[in-house]
Amino acid sequence: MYNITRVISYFNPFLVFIIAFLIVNIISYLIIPKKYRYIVLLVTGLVAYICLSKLVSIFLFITIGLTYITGLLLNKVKCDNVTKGLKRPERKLVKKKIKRLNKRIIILYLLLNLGILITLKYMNFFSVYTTMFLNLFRQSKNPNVFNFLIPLGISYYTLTSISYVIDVARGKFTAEKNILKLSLFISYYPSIYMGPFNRYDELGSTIFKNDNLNTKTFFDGLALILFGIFKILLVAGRAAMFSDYIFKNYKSYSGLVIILGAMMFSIQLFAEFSGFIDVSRGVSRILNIELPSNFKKPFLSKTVSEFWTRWHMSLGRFFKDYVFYPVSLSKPLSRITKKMPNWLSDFITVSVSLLFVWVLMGLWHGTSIKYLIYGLYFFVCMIIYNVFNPIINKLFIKIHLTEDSMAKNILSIILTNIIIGIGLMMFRASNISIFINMFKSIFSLENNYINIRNFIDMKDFIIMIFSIILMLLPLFFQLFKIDLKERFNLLSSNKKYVLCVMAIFLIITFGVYGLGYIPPDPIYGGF
Amino acid sequence: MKEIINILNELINVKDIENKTNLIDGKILTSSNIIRLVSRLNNEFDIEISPLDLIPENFNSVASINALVERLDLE
Repeated sequence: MYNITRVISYFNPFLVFIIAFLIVNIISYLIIPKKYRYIVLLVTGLVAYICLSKLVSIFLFITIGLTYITGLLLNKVKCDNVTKGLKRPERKLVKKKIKRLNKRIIILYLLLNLGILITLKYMNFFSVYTTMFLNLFRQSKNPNVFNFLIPLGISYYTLTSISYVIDVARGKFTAEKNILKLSLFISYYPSIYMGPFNRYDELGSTIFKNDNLNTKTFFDGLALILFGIFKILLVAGRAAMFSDYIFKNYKSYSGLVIILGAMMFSIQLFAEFSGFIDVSRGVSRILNIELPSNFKKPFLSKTVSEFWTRWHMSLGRFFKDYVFYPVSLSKPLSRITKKMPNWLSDFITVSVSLLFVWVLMGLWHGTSIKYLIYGLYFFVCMIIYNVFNPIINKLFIKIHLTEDSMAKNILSIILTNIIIGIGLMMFRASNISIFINMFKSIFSLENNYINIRNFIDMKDFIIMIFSIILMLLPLFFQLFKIDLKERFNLLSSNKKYVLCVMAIFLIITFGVYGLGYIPPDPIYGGF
Repeated sequence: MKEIINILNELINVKDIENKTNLIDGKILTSSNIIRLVSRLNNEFDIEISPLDLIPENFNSVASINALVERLDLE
């Protein structure tokens, strides 16, 4: 048992268990009656989860129980207060009563559910120091120790369960009476580590569809899994070598090297995050469960707002539906802006709503001041854009510049990437003062070079360059209107099999893992 | 219908807006624009649009926005 845990710790544990999860469920799809499939999905997922989170798994079960009860309570409120057959004034009164009761239930639920999340996260803040202290006495400093106080994916399953409860309160669907089905939704193993965030009606419609396994979705899913693992082990692993070294030794470098560090971190973050999402979606696809996509060419965004509709799309959608819209439609805000001229009421409504979103987004990513400033940074960027964009557009109209020129698009993309890059640099730096120092040093001309042999072999460096090119290949082909996915689907099963085997060989040979190498702590994995 | 078209024309500059059917899916209306649109619709027609109504089906075309307004007016 000890040897197995050692082996597992050299790979990302979540990935190891998800492969086991996949295999067990494929077998179950073949031998167990369709109507019990979801139970196997639930049980295998929970077993994997408990292996990873151990005793702290109890918090997941507390959240599931709380969510289940709240859903039924909201249902009861609706059933006890019928509006059918009533005349309009009475109907309005009953609706008001339902709304008032719902509000109280939701507030209590949020206090408890978010309370658990916030308490555990802030305890984690202190336990980081405990772990560092303990590491001083350990022989091998393995930073990939799962923090013993944080249940895996607590931010994922907390927000997922909140979306379910709010949707029930809004009357989008009735509460789930089957606690096993609800548990599967909240704890769905492929999504619980890094997402994507699922909605109950959307995940429900695909997870209970009970289609049979077929070769098309099998190879589709397998290709997606392999592409994801390729991104994690070949691209992210090596880009991390760059960014870790530069961020650790930032005092020795400036100018282009700092910019390189920020770029490498962006590549690392994107490859790792989208890689894990691909694995989750690939595993689910093999089981005929469709998860939503989470990234849509984010680095081709023309504005910062657009970036956040292309990066971690499911999180953006959550904040849009459950924070941005409710805040902007709230009574207090409407009251304040009622007597104002349109331009002012628009500005205040949008700005206040965005402020709520970005403060929460910032703090969701971490519990220190740096993350709050990270959120506010993007908030300020968006406000500036909202204020100046109409003015600049009017200017363009006056000087007769065409709407969609290639030069304008490229300039917007570059500018947006610079703003995002600065934000990601802030995200990666250990604290705000380090970030400020690094940012200032970009404009200095000393130490503008770096000897990469300090931290990476020539062999690894070349593999990284090739891997990044390989990662961008589908995008490149799309420019020539060639859809690689479609081409792959049209191949015979034998050819697909050969390609997958080649990919596995490539990953095993060139992937960054194994004895002596400590995998980088997945950045979004603690959430 | 006419008031809705007027309101939309105040907010965004798109030709032939009454015949478009992909205002949301085609990203013609951004989230910020939707907020502005909703506040004006609420004021103009004395209705109360809730977050639950903010789905693509209700806002993809002028016709669907009109249907939403009429439905809320009856409630």
